[in-house]
Amino acid sequence: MKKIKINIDREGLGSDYIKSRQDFGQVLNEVNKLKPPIWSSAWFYGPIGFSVFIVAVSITALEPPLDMKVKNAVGKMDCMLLIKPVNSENRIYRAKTIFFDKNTTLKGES
Amino acid sequence: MRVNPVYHQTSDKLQQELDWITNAKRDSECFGPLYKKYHEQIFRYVYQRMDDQELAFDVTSQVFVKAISNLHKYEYRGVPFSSWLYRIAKSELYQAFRDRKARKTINVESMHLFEMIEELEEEDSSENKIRLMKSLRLLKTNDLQIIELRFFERRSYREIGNVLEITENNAKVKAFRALERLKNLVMNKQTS
Repeated sequence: MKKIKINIDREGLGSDYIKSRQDFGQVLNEVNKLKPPIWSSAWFYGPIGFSVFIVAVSITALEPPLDMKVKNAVGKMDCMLLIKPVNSENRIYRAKTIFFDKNTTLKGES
Repeated sequence: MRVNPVYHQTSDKLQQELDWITNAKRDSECFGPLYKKYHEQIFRYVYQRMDDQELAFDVTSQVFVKAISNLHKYEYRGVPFSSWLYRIAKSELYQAFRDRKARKTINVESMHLFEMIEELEEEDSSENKIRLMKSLRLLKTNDLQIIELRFFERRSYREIGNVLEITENNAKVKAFRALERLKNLVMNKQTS
C-alpha cells in the first residue's frame, strides 16, 4: 500500500491569508539566481569570443614565424662574416650550425 | 455535479492575460499581475496534495520561479495560462515528493466522500467510507489524479483535459474508467 495520508475535513485556509503570503520579490530573486552568469552565456561568447579571436589573429600576423626569425638571424651573421675577408661560404655554413645549436632545439639544418 | 467556475474565462480576459505574458517574456517584472492572479489557485492545488503548509508555499513559489524561467517556451493555445502553471505544479509536486520526502496527501471533505459513495452506488455508511478511503490508497497515480481533479476539486472535464494535456472527451473517458476501477476496489474490499 502506498504511503498516502488521507485528511478528512482539514481546516481550510482563507484567501486573505494566502494573499498575505504572496512574495513576488522573492520569486524574482530566485529567478535571477537561476540565470546563468554572463560569462557562460552565448551573448558573452559571441562578441567577447570574437574579439579574442581577432586579437589572437592580429598578434600572430604581426609576429613573424620562427623560420623567418632564423632566416633573418642568419642573414645578419652573413653580413657580419662578409665584412671579414675570409672564406665566406664555409664560415656562413658553420655560423648557421652554431646559431641553431645555441638558440633552438632544431638540429642539423643548414 | 457543480463545477468550480474559476478556470473558465472570457476571451477578453484571455487576451489581457496574453498581453501580460507577452510583456513578461520581455521583462520578468511584468509577470506580477499573472502571479497575483494565479498564486492562490496554484497554492490550493499544491496544498490539496500535501500535508505541510510551509512546504506547499515553497513549492508554489518554485512553480512561479520555473514558470518565469521557462516563459520563453510558453505558447498560447487558446486556454487559460493556469493550465500551463498546473502542469508545472504537477511536476514540482512530484519533485517535492521525491527530493524533499514530502508526504503525498489526499484532502477530502466528508461531503465529497458522500458524493463519491453515491456515484459508486453504495450505501452511505461509515464502513463504506473506510473502504472507499482504503481503496483510494490502492488506486494508480493517474486514476487517483483524475478522481481528485474531478470529484474532490470539482474541475470541469475541459480543465482536466487542459491540465493533463488530453482532450475533454478523453478526460471524461478516463474519469469514468478511474471511477470504475475504484468501484471494483471498493467491491473487492467489501467481499474480502
